[in-house]
Amino acid sequence: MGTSSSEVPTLVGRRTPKGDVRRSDRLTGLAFVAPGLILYGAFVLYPLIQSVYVSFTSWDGVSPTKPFVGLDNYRAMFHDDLFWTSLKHNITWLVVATFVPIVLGLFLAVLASGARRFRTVYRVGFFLPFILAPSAVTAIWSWIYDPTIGVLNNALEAIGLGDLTQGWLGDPNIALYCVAFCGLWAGTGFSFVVFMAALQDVDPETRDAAVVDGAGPFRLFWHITMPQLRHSIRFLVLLSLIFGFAAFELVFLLTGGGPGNSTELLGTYAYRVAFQFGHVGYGTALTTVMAVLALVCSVVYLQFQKWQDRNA
Amino acid sequence: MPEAVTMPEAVSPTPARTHPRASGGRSTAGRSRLGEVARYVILTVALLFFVGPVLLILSASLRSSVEVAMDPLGWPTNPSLDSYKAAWDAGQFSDFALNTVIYTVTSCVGVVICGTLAGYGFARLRFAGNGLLLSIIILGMIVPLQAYMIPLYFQLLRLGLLGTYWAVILPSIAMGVPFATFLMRAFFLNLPNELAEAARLDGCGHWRIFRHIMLPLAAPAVATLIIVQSVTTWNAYLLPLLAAPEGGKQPLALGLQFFQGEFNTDRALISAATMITSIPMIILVIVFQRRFISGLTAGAVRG
Repeated sequence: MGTSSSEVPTLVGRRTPKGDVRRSDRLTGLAFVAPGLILYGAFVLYPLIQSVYVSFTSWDGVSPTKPFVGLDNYRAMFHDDLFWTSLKHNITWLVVATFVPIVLGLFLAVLASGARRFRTVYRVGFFLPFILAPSAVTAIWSWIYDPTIGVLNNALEAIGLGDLTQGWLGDPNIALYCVAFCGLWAGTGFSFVVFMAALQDVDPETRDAAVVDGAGPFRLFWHITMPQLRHSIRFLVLLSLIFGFAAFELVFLLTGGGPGNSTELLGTYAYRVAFQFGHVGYGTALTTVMAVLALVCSVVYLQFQKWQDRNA
Repeated sequence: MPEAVTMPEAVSPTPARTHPRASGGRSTAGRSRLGEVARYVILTVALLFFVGPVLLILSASLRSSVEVAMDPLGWPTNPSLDSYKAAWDAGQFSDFALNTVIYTVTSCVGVVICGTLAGYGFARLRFAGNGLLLSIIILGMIVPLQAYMIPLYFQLLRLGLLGTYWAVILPSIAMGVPFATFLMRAFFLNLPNELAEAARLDGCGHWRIFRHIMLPLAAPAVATLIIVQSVTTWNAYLLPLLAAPEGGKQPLALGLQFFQGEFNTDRALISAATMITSIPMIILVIVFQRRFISGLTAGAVRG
C-alpha cells in the first residue's frame, strides 16, 4: 500500500555493496527468503487475494462450489442500511479512538518530555494499557461501565452525582462513544511513546537559539518542534486510518455490535454476516470494502502530505 | 516518504547516539512556576486515568469476592491470593496458560528463523524480483487480519488445521514475517561489510557467513524481535477466535472471555483472571521497555 510503494525504491537502492553479485547468489537469495515468503504467502497473501475473489460470489461457506455473481454483493451493500450505519460508526471510531489519542499522546509527550522528574513513570504508566490483551481491556471496562455493580455508577453515587449515572454500554445513544473511549484509553500510550522518541531527537541547539530570539512556548512548539514530528504524525495517522477502519475486538467483546446495532462496525458486521448468517460472499465483500477504504484514505493522505511538503 | 529509511535505534549495531536532553536546565529557565505546577498536575491526572483502571482490578484481585461485591472501590485490607488460586482452578486457566506459552514460544522461534533468513537475504543478496518480493512482504505490515479473516478461517478448515495448535501457530508466524523481515533487513544493511568480505575471501559461503558471523552479531535485533512478537502473540485475540475457538486450544486472551461469561458477577475472580493474563507481559515490557518501545516505533520516528 501507500507507505511501501514510496519507501521501497530507497530501501532497495542501498542494498548490496558493489561486486557482491554472483550468479549463485540468485538461488541462494531465494533460498534465504523462502521460509518466510512461503508462510506469508500461504496464510496472509493467499487469503487476502481469495477475499477479493470470494466477494464476487454468493458462497455460503459450506457448498463445494462458489457461484459467481459479479458485482451483486457490492450492489446489495449500496442498499444495505446496516452497511452505511456501520461505516458511520467506523468514522466516529476513527475520530474518538484513533485521532484523539494522537493529539492527546502528543500533548502528554510534550509535557512529559519537558518534565525533570518521573519521566520513566509516565512512560510506563501511559503505555501500560497498550500492552493488555483486548479481552483484558474489556474485562476491566465492562466492570467500570456495568450499570448495577459498575465502578463508574457507584463512584458517581458516592460523590453525590447520582443524576449522572447511565446505562453506559446499554444505552444506544452513547454505547459507541463508551466503547471508543475504552479504545482511547488503550491506544493513547502508543502515540505517546512514538512522540516521546521523536521529541528526544529534536535538536536542542535550534531550540535554544529560538529561546534566545525570544520565542514563547507556543511559537517554539509550532515552529521548532512540530516540523520535526512530521514523520511520527504521518506514521500514526496512517496506522489510524488502517486500524480505524479495521477496528473489531473491543466492540466485539464489549457490546457485540449492540444494543440494536448501535455499535456495529464494518469488521463486526462482516464477522456476523459471514460466520453467523453464513453469507460468506457478502461478508468478504464487506471486508474488501473496508480494506479498500483504508487504502484509498492512506493514499489520499500521503498525496496530500507530499503536496504540503512541496508547498512548505 | 522521500527520505531514505534510516536505522531504527532498536537495530543499530553501534550504540545509540546520546542526545543532550532538550529539557536541560537552560531551556527551562524561562518557565513560570505556575506552568511547572500545571505540567505536573496534568501529568498526574493522566497517570491516574491510564493506570487507575489497572490498579482497580489489581486491588479487586487481592480481595475476596464478597468484599468486592459490597464495595468495588475498597482498598485490599487483608490482601490474599485466594482469587488467583480459585481462578486458576475454576476456569481451565492452567490449560489456557500452557497453550499461550506454546503459541508464544513457537511463533517467536518461527519468526526469528524466517525473519533473520529473509532479512539477510534481502539485505545482502541480489536475486530476481527481490525488490518486488520485498515490497509484497512489507505490505503485510499494514494489512490488518480483519481484511482476510474470513477466507483464512475457511482455509484453515480446508487444510484440516482447525482444532490443532498449528491453526494458531502458522498464521501467527506468517503475520509476524513482515515486521521481522523489515527489522532484520534494516539491521543487516547497517552492519559493516568488512567482516563478511573477509570471510568470503576465506572461502565461506553465504550460509556460513550468515550462521557464524551475522547471526551472532544480530543478537540485539533478535531480542527486540522476540519481545515484540511475544507481546503480539500473547495478547492476540482475533486469530485464536477464528482458529481455536474451542476444544481446549484457547490461549489466555480468549479463555478470559469465556471465563467472564461464566463468572459474570464475581468481579474478584475475573480481576484475578485478568491479572494472570496480563502480568507476564506487563513484567516483560517493564523490564525491556526501551527495547520494546524502540522496536515498536522502528521506522516511525525518522523513517
